[in-house]
Formats: sequence, structure tokens, C-alpha cells
Amino acid sequence: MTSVQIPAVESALLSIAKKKGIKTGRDRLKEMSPQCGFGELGTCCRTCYMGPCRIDPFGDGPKTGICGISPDAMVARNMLRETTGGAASHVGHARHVLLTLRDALDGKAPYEIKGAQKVLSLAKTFDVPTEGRDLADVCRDLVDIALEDFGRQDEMPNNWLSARAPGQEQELWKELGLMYSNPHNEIETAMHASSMGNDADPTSLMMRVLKMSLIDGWTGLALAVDLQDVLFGVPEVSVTETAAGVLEAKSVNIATHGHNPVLSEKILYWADKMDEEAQAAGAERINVVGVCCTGNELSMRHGVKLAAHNSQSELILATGAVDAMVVDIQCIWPQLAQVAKCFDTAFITTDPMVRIPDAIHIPFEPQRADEDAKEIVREAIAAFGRRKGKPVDIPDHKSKAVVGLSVEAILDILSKVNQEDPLKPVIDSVASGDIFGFTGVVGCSSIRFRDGAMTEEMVKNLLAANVLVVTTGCTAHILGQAGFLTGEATDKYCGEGLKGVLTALGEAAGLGGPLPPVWHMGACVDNSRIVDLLAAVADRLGVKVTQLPAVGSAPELVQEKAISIGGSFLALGVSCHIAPAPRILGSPVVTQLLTQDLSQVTGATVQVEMEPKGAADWMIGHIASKRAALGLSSTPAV
Amino acid sequence: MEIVIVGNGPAGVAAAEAIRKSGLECSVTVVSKESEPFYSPCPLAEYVEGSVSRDSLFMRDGDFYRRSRIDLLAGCAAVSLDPSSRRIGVSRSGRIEHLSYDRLLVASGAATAFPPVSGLSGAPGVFTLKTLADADAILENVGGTERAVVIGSGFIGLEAVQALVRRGLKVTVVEAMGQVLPQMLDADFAARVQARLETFEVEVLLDSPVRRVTQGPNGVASVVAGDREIACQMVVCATGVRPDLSWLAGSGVAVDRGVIVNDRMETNLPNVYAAGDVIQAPDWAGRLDLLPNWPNAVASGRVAGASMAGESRKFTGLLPVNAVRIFGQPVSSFGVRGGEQVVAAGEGGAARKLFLEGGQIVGGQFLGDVSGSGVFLEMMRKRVDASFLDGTALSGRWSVAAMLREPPRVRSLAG
Amino acid sequence: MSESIFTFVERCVGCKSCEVACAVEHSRSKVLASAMRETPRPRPRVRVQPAMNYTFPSRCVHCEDPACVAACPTGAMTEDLATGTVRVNDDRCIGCWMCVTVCPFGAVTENPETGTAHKCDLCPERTARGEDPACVAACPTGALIYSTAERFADERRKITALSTVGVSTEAPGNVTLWRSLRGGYQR
Ligand SMILES: Cc1cc2nc3c(=O)[nH]c(=O)nc-3n(C[C@H](O)[C@H](O)[C@H](O)COP(=O)(O)OP(=O)(O)OC[C@H]3O[C@@H](n4cnc5c(N)ncnc54)[C@H](O)[C@@H]3O)c2cc1C
Ligand code: SF4
Ligand code: SF4
Ligand code: SF4
Repeated sequence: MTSVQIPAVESALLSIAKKKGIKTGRDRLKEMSPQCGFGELGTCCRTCYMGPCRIDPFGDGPKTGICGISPDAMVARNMLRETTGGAASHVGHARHVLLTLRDALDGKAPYEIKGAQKVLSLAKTFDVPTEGRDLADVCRDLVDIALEDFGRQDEMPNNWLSARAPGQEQELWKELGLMYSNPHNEIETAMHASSMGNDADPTSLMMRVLKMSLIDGWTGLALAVDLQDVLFGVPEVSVTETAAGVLEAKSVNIATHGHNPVLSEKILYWADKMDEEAQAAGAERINVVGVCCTGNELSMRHGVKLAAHNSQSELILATGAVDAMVVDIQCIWPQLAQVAKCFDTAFITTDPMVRIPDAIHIPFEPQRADEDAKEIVREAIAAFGRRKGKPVDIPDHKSKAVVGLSVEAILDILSKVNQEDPLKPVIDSVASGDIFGFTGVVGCSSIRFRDGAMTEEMVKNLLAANVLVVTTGCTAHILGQAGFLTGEATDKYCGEGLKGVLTALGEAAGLGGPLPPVWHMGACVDNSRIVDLLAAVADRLGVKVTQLPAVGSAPELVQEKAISIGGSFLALGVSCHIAPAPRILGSPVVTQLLTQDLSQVTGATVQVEMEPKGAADWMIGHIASKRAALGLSSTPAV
Repeated sequence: MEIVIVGNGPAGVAAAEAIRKSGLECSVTVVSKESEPFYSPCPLAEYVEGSVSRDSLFMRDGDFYRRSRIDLLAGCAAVSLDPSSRRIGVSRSGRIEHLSYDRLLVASGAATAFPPVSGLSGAPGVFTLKTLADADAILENVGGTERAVVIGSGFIGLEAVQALVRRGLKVTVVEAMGQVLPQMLDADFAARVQARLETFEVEVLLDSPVRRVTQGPNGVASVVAGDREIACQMVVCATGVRPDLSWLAGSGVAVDRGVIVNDRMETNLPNVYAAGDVIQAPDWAGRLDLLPNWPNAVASGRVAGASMAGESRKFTGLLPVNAVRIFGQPVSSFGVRGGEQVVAAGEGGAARKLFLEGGQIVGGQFLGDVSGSGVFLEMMRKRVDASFLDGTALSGRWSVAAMLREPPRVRSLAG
Repeated sequence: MSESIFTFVERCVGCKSCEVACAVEHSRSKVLASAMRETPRPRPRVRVQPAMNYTFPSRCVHCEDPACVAACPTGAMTEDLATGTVRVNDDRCIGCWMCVTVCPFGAVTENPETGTAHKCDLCPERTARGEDPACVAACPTGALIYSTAERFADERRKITALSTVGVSTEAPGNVTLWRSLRGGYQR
């Protein structure tokens, strides 16, 4: 308890909560401790009603389940169900966006196509003719291609996977039998195979895990992101602010929380239009802020300020200054409704799948998006009316952040240096060692690690070794709050090589200063952007993705989605660090597979490191070995 | 060999039992001023209140003295000690007799310490709550009484307050100091206890030393304390206890505030031992102290018994602990108040506070939730490094697990 | 020498099965499903607690010379001199909490529903039938044993002896690893 370094804004928020007698996740974690070892080891099986079965990790007690399943299969089966939960979440998200786009094209939902550029580039990918055609027609073809994936019952590979994923890797996946057709069939098969009395072979089950991860990566992430860009436009670079200090005492504060921008885009749109109503209620204006990944979505496309990452979602409510927290899907803590009750805050659920006791439920349907969004904004204004004049506790903390670094935006910056071959400056710097390598630091914010500033400390170490960091999800909030998304951070944290490159790029792009050392690429679903970037670099170099000096990290894993995303990186050949340990240690076979043998299959492995320095060191070492294999200098800066 | 024990309380009885456990062949005579067999004074307030029966105050069955071969001289007060002739003088039904001893244990406890105020000690309508007879006297007089004043807000005073409130009386407690439970709590926690008393309609007057107790035609009429005069029909004086050393005067036994003993409960006089509330003995840290409570009485009694039986057993020191309930809410404390504070708040107004000096616990106090407090006491006694304790660590469930230390941690899969 | 419960702390995985079994054993119905709905609610007398990287099923150790018995001023807390078992008699207990205040193991707690002291009683009904106490029977890893102090010490000695002749008595590698990795967040 001596070496804690709770990030400043976090500790300010915690003391506000404490002062008001509001229990937080940290209190609940403490009450929950110790947590069950069988669960952590992955050797508790509740798949059938002869169980629950638990394997004695010391080897004296039961060595198999009642049905005879081995601990290895038990672990793999549990992992498959986690991965399926993650993939189902992203596929569900993508399908919702797809159906919204279809309805918009049919004139049934009030959304415009803002991403013409994306429509054209996707059309190229999918060989959809564009010459002399209406944008909407092109778009409709794309929608049909995507819809076809959800309806097919043949073994043809999935359209989105086969057209979007890099070619060399697809060859490998074909060999391994990982190509899939209809994602829904695969989700069904995974649940089926992992129910009682089916697949009991740990290797077979783990291959299913990889396949499910690919579904997450291509029919979840890629499809959702592609179509969101079509609907809402491709993100461009802008500057915003992060941390709870972005709340405004005198404004109607609407915090959008969740993952799906279909709702939050409309909230933002109407909030802009309804300032007058807010002023009539005595507010200065309506202040829409972002929480979690729907926050990232708005920030990427509109520079909306980022108020809180996931584990702070309950804490910003304790300020008393949030008038409405509007949530869509995923990572919504039921506790939020309870904290909201202590204040005038309207806690509004909108998705039929996300019902939370004590929340106000305003069903949101894309077809009625304008009416629904207006109703929600009015609910927030009414809540402000109740709150007006009462004291609030908004911490001062906020930091500047550069956001909006989609692949397109990055290439745009790079093309200012080299018009013909935008990736060249980056590739040259990698060759020279000025950029030692890349890491995607992604994922959640976990109260298990927040008090040690796990993510921030790890990133500091990476930057000092000239490793360029890209980020998404709640990790991006963490790094934004800690000031890493600014040019100043480049001067402060980067090794000389990286600092030089970023400064040169920033100046060439006319930014009047260095590029930030950590690039905010979006929400957790936007991990597909990282994949696209890696694929583009690999393609330019003519190597496989697994050969790149690149590595992933989910330093504060919370959600099942992070498991399936991680799996999609592994399938691609990108090794990943994660913390805490996945629930595999009860199985020697699965542990061996993920931490070692997988490198023989896809080229990637998993590494668990609980300390930031150790994690960074492993990543730097891993990058060094990839560099060495490419014949590049492999001594990192110190 | 003849062993004489003056006192039939926990110290005396624990000593007698320890002697019998040792197997030493000897006679054991227990002399007691009171006429009842061994009972516990601790539930006396509950007895007055009516929640504990008179029967269950008695700590041993009816056959105990016979079975243990203990001669009980009840209703027999020791009045003098002559070490040179190894005899004590006892007053029995007004007659003085002498008892010889080979070994003597002084376990005569403590008596209420009255403040030097006129009309208090022994006046009609003024009671104490120290013995069963005291409790019976209160019970006899409580009927028809509407208002009572309790003098002193130590734990016995507050227990008396609750008993009387639950008997339907309107009660005022007057305290000379600026807070309730001045021996047990710091001002912060005392204020919370006071607030709880007040929600049960107890009037609490602080900084109000008693100046006078006035008598009327029907007995006691009022108590004048501080600048207030409180009309009442009953007064309970609970201004603390003090070892009653009067019968030892002239014996040559070394006393300060109590009878001074070493860690084997030996006094300065050969063959004379002392235990219980009457002693001033080394505390857990080896400092001579006066710490009257039940656990100390039993523990010192056992050591005294063993010593008298020729066994060598050492006393681990008086424990500075106490616990009391305030209208059902547990309150406990140990050690001293002072130094660095670590505070934690729990559910429903529960609170804990530890006092640390140089990273070690020197005291603690608990309100509402006393679970696990013994672990902190043990950490204090063992001088365990407690600098790792912060508010978070202090809150929640506590057990010895918190003291476990283990091998250094590996933090990665690579090892 | 009579039997008591002993703990191999290195075997505890913190599953809390012992807590559940204890509460059920001390319920009226002795069946989990109905025990959960009883009032007063059956409460476990063992609490699994974090101890850095380890977890520790904390309960009364039935001390020799128990501090709680010495401290109890009502005769409610007694030690059975024949078996060494320390038990509370609810009818005598007035809830003065002296025992809680002095137990160095934090093993006696307040039962808020009954206002009396609450602690391990070594499952008298089960042990009378010749069965192990509920927590011991429920522990899936053998972290708890019902045995005499001598036999427990023998076990311990055996473990030490084996390791001195080179037989590995360490926890399996994956368990050591898991335990070391969890230290960071277990509070
Ligand atoms: C109302 C009340 C509540 C209490 N609650 C608690 C509590 O919750 N926790 C706690 O730890 N402690 C409590 N105590 C204190 C505890 O009861 C005493 O510390 C303990 O009883 C001391 O034991 P003892 O044997 O030294 O003396 P006592 O119990 O006082 O016994 C003294 C014995 O000596 C006899 N005696 C006295 N003088 C003479 C004489 N001259 N000749 C012959 N015999 C004599 C008496 O008759 C008696 O038998 C409470 C006390 C009271 C009065
Ligand atoms: S309750 Fe505590 S003091 Fe009493 S026997 Fe058990 S562990 Fe020992
Ligand atoms: S709480 Fe009960 S068992 Fe504990 S010391 Fe008090 S009376 Fe005895
Ligand atoms: S049942 Fe056994 S392994 Fe589980 S918590 Fe209790 S002692 Fe530990």
C-alpha cells in the first residue's frame, strides 16, 4: 500500500465519492476479496447440472469433471465462451449499424451518408462499380454484401473477411480451417460445441477460440467501423480535452456512455440545436461529454470532450454535475443507476437489451432517432432544472488531447511529407531505428490496476525506448487524461529518435510542433483501424504482419471483448501482453499453447506481466527480436 | 499448607481454580465481604434493566465450592493484615477473628471512588452499581421513580444510564470532563456516542462536576452539577473505581495507587500475593499500571494461583482493553489515544480509529463494528509493524490474515 | 489429544466453499436452498480473507488457554476441558464483546441479529456422528483438516522431510504462478 500513485483526477473523484458516502468499485473489490482461485484458474465448470465441478489444482482431489472432462478442455471451453461473448458483442454492434445504414438508405431512418470517401474506398475493396453511379446505390451494394454474410448457409468464406483481411494471413487461416462463413452460425456452433458433452479436445477448442476471434475482428470490428465511417464520416484530427474537469457546473451536462454512435451522434446533433431550451431552463448551454467508447466515437469525429473512462463512469456521477447519463450498449455498470439516484441525475438506458433497475428507460430506435434523441435531451434539461443552484464537485483536472487519428488521417499527415509514398517516412524511421517499433496499447480501465497507473507507467517506458504507441478504447482515455495525447508529451517522454521523427512529421504537417507520441485511433471497436494500419505497413514492406516490429497490449483487461480482440491480434500474428492473467493457468496445455506453441502456428504468443516496467521490457524485447529477424538493429535506446 | 484468598470475585476464584488445577494438596479458604457466591458484576446493568436474570449472574454451579474443596467464608470482611504472624483479621457478624495463612492472596477488588462532595457517599437515594447488593438496592427503589441523575459517564455510568432508561426513567448524566467515556475514547468518537445517547433522550451535561446533592422530605431532591440543578428522585454515582487499600494499612505491603506486584503477582511481602482490580502491575509493555477489568482479573488471578502453588508462570501483562454497548451499539477501545491516526468509516455510522507511533499501533477505538479489534490489540502487543495500515486496509473484515506475510511475489508469466 | 481444525494455508484457493458449508451447517434446515431464506440468516463462522498473495480461511483456532474464555465475564464463553473446544452459550452471552476485543485471531465476531458472540463451534452435531466439521468436508483442495495437533505437526514434518530428500512438495508451478500474479490486485 506504499507504492500507490493513483492518477490525480481519479483520487480527486474518489475523495468526492468518499465525502458523499458513495461506495465505489474499489470498495466492492475489497469486499469481494479474496476472489475464487478456481474461477481465476479457469477450472470451474458450470456447463451441466452434475456440476459445478472444480479441479483440485494441487492434484490430490478431482482431476477431471464428473463427466470426465480434463482441466485443459475445461479451461479451453470456458475461454471459448468468453471469446464468443466478446465476438457476439461486436457482431451485434456491427449488425445494428448495418441495419441502421440499410434503413437510412431506404429512407426509413433519419441518417445521412457522411463518409463518401469511405464508400468509395470500400467499393474498391469489394469490387463494387462506382462509375456514374449514385453514392446511395453504391452504398446499397455494400449493404447487400454485408447482409449476405448474415444469411448464408454455404461454406463460402465471409465477404467482409475475405475482402478486407490481408491476403497472406488469409492463406494461413485457410490452412488452419479458421475461415468462416456466417458469423451467426459460428456463434451458435461455439455455444453448441462448448456445451456439455461436445468438444472436449483442448486444441480443437482453442482453434475455435481463434476462429471466434477472427469473427470478432472482421465481422465485428471491421464491419462496424467501416459502416460507421460511411454513416458518420471518417475521423479527422482535432484537439479536445479529457478528464472530469470537462464537466461544466452551469451547463446541462449530458454524458454519453457505451459503444454505439448511432444514438450518441443524434444526441450530439440535437444538443447543439437545443441550447435555447437549455438556456430557458437557466443553463449556459448543453455540454455533451463522452464516457467510455461512445465518447471516443464522438471525440474522433467531432472533438467532443472526454469525461471519463469506464471505471470512472460511477465516479463522475458522484460530482453531482452530470444531468443525464445516456447509455447504449456494453460496459454499463448497473451500479450507475444507484449512484445517479443520489443526485438529480437522469440515468437513461436506451437499448432493449440493456435494462437496468432504477434507470429511466427511453427505448431508442434508429427509425425514430430524432424524436428519441430530443426526448432524451429534454430529460437532461429537466434534470438540470432540478439540480440548478445546488453545489457540485467538479475536479479541476483536464488535459488537452489530439484525437481523430484514423488511418486516413494518419496517411493524410504522412502524405504532406511524401505525397507519392506516404508510408515511406515511417518505414525509413523504423529502418533507422528512430522508431524502434509499434505497440497498440488498447482495452479497458481496471480498478485492479488504476491505483498503480499501470497503463501510464508502461507507456512511459515504451516511449523512452522509441516505441510509437497507438491506442483505442478506455486506454485512450487513460492516456489522454495523463497528457500523452499531446505534442508536449513527445518532448517529455520520448527517446531522441522518436522525438525527432514526431517533431519532423508535426512540422511537415504544419502543426507547429511535434505529433503526439500516442495516437488516439478511436473506440475499442476501432482496433480494426490498428489492424488496417499494420496491414498497410506490412503490405508496403512486402512482409507478413507477424514479421513487423509490432506488439499489442491490453494492460488492464476487464471485458470479454478484450479477450476476443486479443485473439484476433494473435490470429494475425501479433503477440500480446495482457494483465491480469487470462483464466488459463489451471490448464498446462492451454497455458503452453498461448504462451509458447502458438508462435509456431500464427507467429504470436501471449505474455502476462503485472508490473508496468516488466510489461514494457517484454514488449521492447519482443520488438527487438522482430527487428533482428528483419535484419534491423535490435538494441533499444535506454 | 493453608492458602487464604481475600476476595470472591474473578481474580480470587481464578486463583483458587488454578491452585486446584496444579494438584497441590492444601486448604483453600476464600473470604468475601459479600454474602453471595461468585457472581459477575459485568451484567449488573442488564440485571437492573431486566434482560438478565439474577440466577445467570452466578458463575458457578451450586456444588462448585464443595467439589473444588474451597471453604467460602461469605459475609466476612478482611480488616487487617499482619505479615509477621501471617494472619489476617476478619470481621464476621461484628466480631473480629483471625485467620492464619501460609500463603495469602489479596483479591479484594476495587470500590467506587466518590468525589469529595457533600451529601453523596452513603446518602439516602444515592446508589452505586458495583455489587449485586447495589443492583438489588436500585431495583428496590426504581419503582415509582421518574427522574434519575447518573454521575459519571464512564462505561459503568453509561451502562447504568441505559438500564434506567429501559426501566422507563428520564435520565441525566453529568460528567466533569468535556466528553463522555473520557478513559475510553477521544473527543471525536465520544461526540458520536453522546449523539447516540441523546437520540435515546438521555440528557448529557459535560464539563459539569457535581457540587452538591440536596435532600428533600422524600429523600434525594436534586443534583447540582456545573451551573445546573437537576431535580431527581434517584442518583447513581459511577465516578470510577479505586483499589480499596484501607484494610491493608499498616501491613507494610507496598502500595502506590494499588498493591504493587511483579509478573508473578508477588507483593513485597513474603507469601503475600495480589491479583485483580486491586493490583498495580506491569502492563503489556512492562509499565506499572492500574487496569481494572475482567480479563486482567482472571489472568492475574490464574498467575497468582499458579505462583502460590509453586508453579512458575509469568504474567504477560495487563491489557488496556474495554468494551461497552451504547443502546445496542458496540464500542470498544484499547491502548492509548495519541500519535498518528488511521481512520476508517464503515456501514451505518460504524467507525474505527487506530493510533500509531513510529509505525506501531499504540491504541485503537471502535464504534458500531468491533469485529477483529482483538487483532489490532495483538499487533500492538507483538509490536508488529503496522505502517502498511491505511483507512482502506483498516476498514472491512479483519482477522489474523492481515498479519500474514509471505514470500516475495513474482509478477509475470516469464517468472 | 482431541481433534481440531488445522489449515494448510498454501492449499487454500479462496473459493469460500468453507464459508457456505459453515453457514448451512449452522442453519435450521441444513440445506443451502432453504438456509438462505431463514431468519436469523445463518452466518459463516469462518471467513476467507486475503493475505497478500494467499488466502486464509480465518476462524477460531480453539486456543490453549483461550483469551476469549478468560475475558468473558458471564461464563458464556467456555472451554471444554476434555476436548479443548471453545464454544459460546448463546443463552448466557450478553453481547459485551470482551471476547471480540481480546481474540488475537479476530475469530469471534458480533452476530448483529442475535446480539451474541459468534464463532466456530467445531460442528458438534457432525463430529458427534464421527464426521468432519462442515468446512473441512467442503474444502475441495484439502486446505482444511480435522486432526490432532500431533498429526498435523507430523504432516508438516513429513512435508519438510520430503523436501529435504529432494521430493518436490512445492505447489505445482501453475499454482505458484497464479498466486504470484494475483498479489497485485487482491486487497
Ligand atoms: C457494573 C459493572 C460492569 C462491568 N463491566 C465490565 C465489562 O464489561 N468488562 C470488563 O472487563 N470489566 C467489567 N467490569 C469490571 C470487572 O467486573 C472487574 O474488573 C472485576 O470484577 C474485578 O475482579 P476482582 O476479582 O479483582 O474484584 P471484584 O470482582 O471486585 O471482587 C472483589 C471481591 O472481593 C470481596 N472483597 C472486597 N473487599 C473485601 C474485604 N475487605 N474483605 C473480604 N472480601 C472483600 C468482594 O466481596 C468481592 O467478592 C464491570 C464492573 C461493574 C461493576
Ligand atoms: S475465539 Fe479466539 S481467543 Fe477464543 S479460542 Fe478461538 S481463537 Fe482463541
Ligand atoms: S460477548 Fe458473550 S461470549 Fe463474548 S465475552 Fe461477552 S458475554 Fe462472553
Ligand atoms: S474451502 Fe478450502 S480452499 Fe476454499 S476457501 Fe475454504 S479453506 Fe480455502
